[in-house]
Amino acid sequence: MDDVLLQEPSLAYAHTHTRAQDAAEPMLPRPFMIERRRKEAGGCFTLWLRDPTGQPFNFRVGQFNMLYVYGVGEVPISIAGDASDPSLLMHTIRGVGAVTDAMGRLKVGDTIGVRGPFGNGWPLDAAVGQDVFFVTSTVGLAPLRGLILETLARREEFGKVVLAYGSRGIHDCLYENDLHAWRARFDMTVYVTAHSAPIGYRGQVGSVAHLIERAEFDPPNTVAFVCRSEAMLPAAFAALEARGVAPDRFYTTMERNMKCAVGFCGHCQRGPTFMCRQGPVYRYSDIQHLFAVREL
Amino acid sequence: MVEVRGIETELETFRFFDGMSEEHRQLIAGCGQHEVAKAGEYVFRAGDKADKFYLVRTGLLSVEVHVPGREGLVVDTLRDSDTLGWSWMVPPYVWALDARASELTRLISFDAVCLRGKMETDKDFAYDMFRRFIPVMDRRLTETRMRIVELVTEPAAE
Repeated sequence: MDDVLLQEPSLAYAHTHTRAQDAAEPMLPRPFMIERRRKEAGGCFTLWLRDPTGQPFNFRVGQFNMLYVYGVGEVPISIAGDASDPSLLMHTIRGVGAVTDAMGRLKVGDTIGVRGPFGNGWPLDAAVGQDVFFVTSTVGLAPLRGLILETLARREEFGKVVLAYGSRGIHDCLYENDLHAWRARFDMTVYVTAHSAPIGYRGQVGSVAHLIERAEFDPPNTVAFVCRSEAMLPAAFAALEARGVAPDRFYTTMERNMKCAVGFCGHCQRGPTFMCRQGPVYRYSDIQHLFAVREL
Repeated sequence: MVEVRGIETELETFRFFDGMSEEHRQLIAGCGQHEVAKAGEYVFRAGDKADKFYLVRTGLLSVEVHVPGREGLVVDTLRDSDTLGWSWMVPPYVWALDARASELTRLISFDAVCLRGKMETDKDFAYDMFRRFIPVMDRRLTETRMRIVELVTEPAAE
């Protein structure tokens, strides 16, 4: 068992930051008002939430909130917004069950409960002076969006900034406007691939791993932030390793069925780690061995 | 000034031929020729005789699947330095997919009958060719399997 993962904060980068579990009432949802909503590609929708009392909501990119639909239930959702604006929370949600479907029916002006922020967040400081490589696909862009915005806000601190994004088709890129804006920048490279496309499509078709193979960056001096389904993570990491990025330079965010989000209930336990407290962001080399354990 | 290079010299620039002896490179080059496919032009179509294999020098090729009664699908794209096709190695030597240039694409094509003949008579050469093609096949097969996992585990538009 990895003792490192039993300590808290478990990982070197999980230093002091905003954590709801340190607050007095981590189990008590705060009522937020839905200020704006937008239908997204991929069956997703985005909600912008504001605390009607005007209290700021400080968070670190990569943290998550427990969103509560009154009378229905609560689910963990990554914060997709800009951490430099604590007045407005942004969450992108995909309707996959009773709670998220109910969220999808909420309208502007409705109230939603928010507990958080929870978890450790992305360790962007680990990438200072290095190339930064974001690897994701479909709705995985949501947990990385805030990190990308922060990276661009601190642009002079990093080398190359590269994003490899995979979508299922050519009409279901999440945050397509953001992708266009990032691609238009001279200081960021964006590679996009589609799983399949109609005849006549002139862009890249194929796997995200193929994008990693061809992307231009300096592998020994790169920190990679990866957000993909657990099943696809090993393939992404293998492609990064094949390019020469060391496994202690990959970070990923993990998903589990979080319930309490403060490390009491054990729903999000994976081996020796509670994802709600020691995660959801992990250095790959710290959890690599857990991927091989089928029972977890 | 334009530098004119023979196919044999050009093969050195492809990773696919890394470490290949000069003798084997000469055998392959003897079956090769330059080709150009204009945007929209088919390099080959499913069901056609697989009588060549290709190296992409520059450009963009799409690998397409014809779906009866529906619009076809692009399932892969190939760019500079990629290899295209292994149906020429496996009986009945028939292409399974379409390959079409998405933009002006320059290729080196290799005559399959010529290559198969040389492989029949020179087993060392045959082994060298299989040793290079099997990883390509393995990679494409693995990638296809991973894309099935991708389809199942990563949500898409409804």
